[in-house]
Amino acid sequence: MSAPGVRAGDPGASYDVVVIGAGIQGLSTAYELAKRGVRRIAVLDRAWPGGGASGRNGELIRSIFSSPEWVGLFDLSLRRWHDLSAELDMNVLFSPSGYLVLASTDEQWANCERDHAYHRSEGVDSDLLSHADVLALVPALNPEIVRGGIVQPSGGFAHHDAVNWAYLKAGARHGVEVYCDVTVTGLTTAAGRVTGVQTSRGPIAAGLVLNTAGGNALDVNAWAGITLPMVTSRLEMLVTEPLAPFLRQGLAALALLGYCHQTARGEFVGGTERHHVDESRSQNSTWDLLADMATKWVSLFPLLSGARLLRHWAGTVTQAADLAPVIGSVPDVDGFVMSCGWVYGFMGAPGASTLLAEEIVSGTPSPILAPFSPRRLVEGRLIAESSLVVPTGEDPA
Amino acid sequence: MSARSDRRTIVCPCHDVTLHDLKVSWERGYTHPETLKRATALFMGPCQGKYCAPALDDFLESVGAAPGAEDSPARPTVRPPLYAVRLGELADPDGESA
Repeated sequence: MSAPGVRAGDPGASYDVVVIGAGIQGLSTAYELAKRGVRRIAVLDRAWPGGGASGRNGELIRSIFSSPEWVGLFDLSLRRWHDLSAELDMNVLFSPSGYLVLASTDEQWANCERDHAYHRSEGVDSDLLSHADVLALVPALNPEIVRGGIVQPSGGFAHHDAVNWAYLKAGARHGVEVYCDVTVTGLTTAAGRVTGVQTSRGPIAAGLVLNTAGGNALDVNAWAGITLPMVTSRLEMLVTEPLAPFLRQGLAALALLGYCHQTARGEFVGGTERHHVDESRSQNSTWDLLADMATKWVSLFPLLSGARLLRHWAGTVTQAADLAPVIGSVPDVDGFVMSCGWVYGFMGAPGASTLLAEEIVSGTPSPILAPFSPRRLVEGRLIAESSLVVPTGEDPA
Repeated sequence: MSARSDRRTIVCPCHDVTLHDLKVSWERGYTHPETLKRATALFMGPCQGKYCAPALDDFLESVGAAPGAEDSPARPTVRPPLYAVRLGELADPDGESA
């Protein structure tokens, strides 16, 4: 055992569903399946629950994106977030204190105006903010970096460890068996069908194998003979000592490729990206990113110049070129479903797991998940979403 | 030691974590050094874990999970920096990232 809800001992020889990876996607989908009556579910993890990106991310939650695909999925997820603590019977420390997307250039501001109009047409709550509005909301911002912004009052952030544990415990109450320190080393297949997993504790038969292996998801796909145009990359974050409250909202700064918030304890937590994708499977943090983060955050919030850095860490994700998740099955590989390619996976998990579990149980494809199918990558139909703060690998404009 | 003295025994002065807190988290099932860290906030304060690490070692030994036993890591992965540094000293406004 390594967290409440994790089972001691060895997994059984056969399950209806075997989930690879006890991160937020795996734990939430297992919970949603069990809630819908699926029995005999095992979740396997080589380390501890939430040990990968699910416990290393920026914890931010919003649905104010620019595309119908992203808004559809993430607005459902945002609604799930508002009820999650009550449903899972554990406080996931969700703070619906708002989410601010900061525009620093005229082009970003024009995008905010366009996105805001779209949000209004879809009934998604968002407010358009002028330069003065943004500074009134967050006076600590460097005015030179503020052109305007868009805020979602019902967005915010939650505590990732609490969320992982809440899904873990709620799943366990529904009979989900979670085993840690079990390394999946391969898949078993027969006649074009995935029939189970090979593990460090022996083979396990499965009616369905779900790949929620996060930064290791491409290995699992490869075992199933699935190759998609995706890469594994590293993202980094830092946290400072506790400071007096100066930032209530979650914040994405488009010009800095940065995202941040201040915790209830007062720590400033933020991550930035550079303009290239850091293709790496390492969980070691780097000097280059530390300098990048310190430089950008001190420029955005001058008061952070005197704040002491407490920790700096890294996590890995798999990503497609459009940074959208890759959810569903592929033709000719039965018994295998993936929910990977997540870069905004923390905020998206409650919604995606709900829809994916419904789809698996009912056999009816979800129209909201359909655009995120692996097929889009094979057919080159990428989702155009302009409100992300992760590099696409293109040179800076 | 009694529960009363456990509540007065500070193992992490950064976050006011007591020996009682540590025992309760352990008994609830946070038995991996990484989950115990996240459940109690040990190793997450300004001392960078220097104060709480020996206390955690002693605690693990007292519950029969001595550091180094089996293949279980005795302590969470060390995260930089070794000493708290001001962000202003790390910022590089003339660098590539500016």
